[in-house]
Amino acid sequence: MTLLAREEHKREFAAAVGDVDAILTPTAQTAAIPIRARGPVGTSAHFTRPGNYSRTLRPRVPSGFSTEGLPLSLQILCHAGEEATALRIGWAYEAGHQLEGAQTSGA
Amino acid sequence: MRISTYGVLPLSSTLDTPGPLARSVEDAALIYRALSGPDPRDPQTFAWDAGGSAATLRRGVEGLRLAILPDAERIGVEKEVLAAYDAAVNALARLGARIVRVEFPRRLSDYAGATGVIIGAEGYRFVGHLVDDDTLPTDPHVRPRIQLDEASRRATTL
Repeated sequence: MTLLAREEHKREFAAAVGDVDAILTPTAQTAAIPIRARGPVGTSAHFTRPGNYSRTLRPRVPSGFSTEGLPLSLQILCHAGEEATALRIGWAYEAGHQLEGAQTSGA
Repeated sequence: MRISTYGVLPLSSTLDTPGPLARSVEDAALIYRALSGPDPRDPQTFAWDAGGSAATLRRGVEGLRLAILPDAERIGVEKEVLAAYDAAVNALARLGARIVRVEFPRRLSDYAGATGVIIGAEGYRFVGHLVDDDTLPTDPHVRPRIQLDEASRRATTL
């Protein structure tokens, strides 16, 4: 039943976002949490599990650091079979991001 | 799902999806291309064309329509995570992407929850004997994720 529902969910989601090339989300709701602080339900998987559900490649690209110095990242969700588009978006962001970093450090 | 799962330690046979971890998107794309493709030992790979990402990788985002999180999905996200996210969205907009709003048919937590049920039911077949053995030092948070009740497992496998 769950697997049948999954196919229906995938169709329903694809129809709702059919006219976009990708969806941008944070990779997780928080920066990395200490192992001791994690709970029984993996809230760190809130944004990544939906992509896993559709079994599509979802690039995640570093997007900065928390005030504690922990890495943050951007997740790029694409349509099934459109991994090339997701990688293209990730490449453009990474290239643009590095450029901005270089400008900042040069100022 | 273009990368063969042959030789990958299984957890969930309908979710396991290998992929590269790399220092740059370009490296990830190269490794992804090298790893993907048909493998007779994992027939699911025949359902997809090889992931030819090299030709389009550097084409930029000009004109692409990129959706942002609906407001309801921003709730529960740490402030500085949202700040970094919004900055990334703005960077892509400056690079020429069209940022658009969409509504999801369900909450993302619904998909995350369903994924958890599938992982539990399918994972139990592979590692159930390990999590059921109280003498083994299994993570106390992992154990209940795999030990779904019998009804959940049956509902998933039907």
